Amino acid sequence: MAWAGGAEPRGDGRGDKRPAWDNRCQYLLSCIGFAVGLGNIWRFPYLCQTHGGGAFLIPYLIALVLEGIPIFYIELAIGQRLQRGSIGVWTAISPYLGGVGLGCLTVSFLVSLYYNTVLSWVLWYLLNSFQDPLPWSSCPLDINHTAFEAECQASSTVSYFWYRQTLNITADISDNGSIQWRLLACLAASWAVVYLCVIRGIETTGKAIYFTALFPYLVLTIFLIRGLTLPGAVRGLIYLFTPNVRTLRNPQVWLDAATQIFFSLSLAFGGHIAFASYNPPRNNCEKDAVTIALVNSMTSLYASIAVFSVLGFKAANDHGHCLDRNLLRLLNAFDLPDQSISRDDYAAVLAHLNASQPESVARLPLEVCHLEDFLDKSASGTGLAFIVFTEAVLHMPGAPGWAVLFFGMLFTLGLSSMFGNMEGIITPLLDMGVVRRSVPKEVLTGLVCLLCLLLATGFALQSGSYWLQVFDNYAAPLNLIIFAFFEVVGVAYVYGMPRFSDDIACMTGRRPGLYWRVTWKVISPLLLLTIFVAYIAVLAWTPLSYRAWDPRYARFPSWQEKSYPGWVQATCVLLCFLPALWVPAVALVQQLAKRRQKQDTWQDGCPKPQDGGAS
Amino acid sequence: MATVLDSAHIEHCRHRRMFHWTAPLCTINFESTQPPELRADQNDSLRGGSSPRMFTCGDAENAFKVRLSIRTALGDKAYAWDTNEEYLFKAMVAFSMRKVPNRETTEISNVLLCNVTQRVSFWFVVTDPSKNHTLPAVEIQSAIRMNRNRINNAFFLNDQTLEFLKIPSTLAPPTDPSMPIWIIIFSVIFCIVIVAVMLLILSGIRQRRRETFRPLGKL
Repeated sequence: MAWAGGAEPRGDGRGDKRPAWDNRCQYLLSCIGFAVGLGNIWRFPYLCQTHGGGAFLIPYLIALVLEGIPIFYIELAIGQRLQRGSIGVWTAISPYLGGVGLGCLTVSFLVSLYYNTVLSWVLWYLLNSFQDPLPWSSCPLDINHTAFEAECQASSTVSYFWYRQTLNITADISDNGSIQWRLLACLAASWAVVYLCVIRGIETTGKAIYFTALFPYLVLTIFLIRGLTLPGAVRGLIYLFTPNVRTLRNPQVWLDAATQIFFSLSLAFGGHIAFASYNPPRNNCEKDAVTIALVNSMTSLYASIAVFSVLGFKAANDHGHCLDRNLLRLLNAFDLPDQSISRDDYAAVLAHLNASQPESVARLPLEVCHLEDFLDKSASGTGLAFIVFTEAVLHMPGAPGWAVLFFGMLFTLGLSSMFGNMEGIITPLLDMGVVRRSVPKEVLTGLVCLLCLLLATGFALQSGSYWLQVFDNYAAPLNLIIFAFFEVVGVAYVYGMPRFSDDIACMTGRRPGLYWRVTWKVISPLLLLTIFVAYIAVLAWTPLSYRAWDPRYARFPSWQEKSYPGWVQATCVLLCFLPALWVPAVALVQQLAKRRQKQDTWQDGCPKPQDGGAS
Repeated sequence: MATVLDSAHIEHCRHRRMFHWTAPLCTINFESTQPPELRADQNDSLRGGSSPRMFTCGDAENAFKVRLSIRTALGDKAYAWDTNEEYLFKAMVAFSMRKVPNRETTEISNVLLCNVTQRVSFWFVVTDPSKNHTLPAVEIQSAIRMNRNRINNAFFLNDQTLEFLKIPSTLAPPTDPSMPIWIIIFSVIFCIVIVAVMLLILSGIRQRRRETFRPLGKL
């Protein structure tokens, strides 16, 4: 039901027709693709695992209902109603709120920088998966060819491949090292792929999203089926999902659930507003919001089943190897026949030997092998994907195929999220009329991608991974919470609930019910305020430190806890607050400048979209 | 001739072992013309007889311990370790020694095995033709290393299942292809992306040029 058919690929900030989705499916898939990202695969299962298994779903669902869906609905509704990107929307609501739009654009920009760097790492692993045996399956030899590399021996083959052969990481964040040209090449390739897909805005992303949004589900299903048939998987699943309700007494769990639902839905980036702005005005955005939010949560759950089954398999595998090593020590020490003790008999035989020859047994370096210890090993983020999963894949028959599928899935997941990020940058720029009409849209997107690529080359340095953690931890979270708070308050109080209810009645056919009004006016702002305060408290109390990978560390391969040098700490603080400063800055500018009436004249019913006035 | 091994002696020997890589307390009693015998002894000093000379089979510097894991390697097709297999082992060691210059006259009878356990593990020494002393460990080590592959293949085992403790195996050299595979795939993908971008840009330019000649009258 496109209202403007066969759109010309020109931005409407220059007076042309606004582009539109080819069909509703593209719009839904784009929003789902933007919401479903890498965090669904490697953040949600980790939170489930560490916060009491199935019990974590309780705070998660509560946060979804009270915070996630209401804010998401607001974003879709105002984008669709005002037919503008994030800057235009907030400027239209109130000139003093224009800073929210600029802040969202800044945060989208910062996040794009490091998000695509993670994608370039995924691309590197994907390219290296097309060989048998996989390059992370064995250690390389040292210079004399007499033994394996010392660093690889001390840690593990997968850790060595990640930290040394991929990142070539330095031991300290202030030690920049040199540019890794392999990572730089992958970075250029990922930005080229992103440019190819966003070159004409939603005209091209709308085509690409069919593949990038649906392929991950196909791969997840394949992994689920394969994972459930692996030995040890079901036991791992049961252990990891068994609810432990006592963990709910820890307030950290509730904070994590609230922040997870917030970032999982990619709220306050401006991407959803941009997507919704290309919709026809009469579109049931309430159904869209609930559908997309539920699909996002279901995907998280689906992914965690697949992830837990593979982790269960890996834990069973490691446990078996641990037992085998102990068995071998017993066999060698007591000269028992080869393969005479099975894994099941190990405990009985050990007890018997301990009773008859305790001193001999005590001298053996036997490891403690408990399956629960292996199952409790948790990892999130890059640790899960590039270390734990790559090792699990090594033990599956047909390892290169599984590696290709896994990293292909991660790449397409991240790519569809990048589309949302880039639209959150490009749509407001087009709406503001930053470039002249004669300049084609391809040039604008090309310039944005080129600028991002140049700035992101810093992440290809040897210390790049440390910097990425800085950006990941400090650039986005606090700012997004601030912007979301202003979004909800701006719409509920500044724009006014009666006017907003009229708009929604026009778009969806009925006024918002009590649930929506209560959450918008009271619950969501309060929740966001609480999360903000809790976040600041946690940030203030924990010292700013990071974990370094240093082969010369005494307790290598454990990470070394180091605190950030002063200038890095200053950068962290700047990243935390600088984007949010747009809000007071723009409000101040508006106050000081001559106050101009920026209100659009709204009529009853659904007026045609008008210019939002000078920004 | 095959060594005479008494299982009772093995039992006795085993219980006297220490659990580290020093010599066991069992000794070998042999003389130049008679096949060697295994004899348990209370102390591990050499005891001279009238004609036979006693050598501790586990003479620490020049003896090597061998450990086989046949069932791990072959599963159901595992063969039993008996005296014939030991004969083959001695033959392989003698063969390896014969390839060393100055040792071409090594005979099977110069290779002595002892302390065969159920694990299967045993010690061996190689004596010189006069059977007065054992050959130095360095020579045996290099000989075994050079023929490791042949010895492994004779028993259908590999470096991990046929272990010569104290003889490190040569690690396989890394198989680096001339061109890393990732570069090939990267170039392919990059070229496809660049070509697609060019096509899209060109089609956009063509569309705009068509519009300037034919302005939109549909509005």
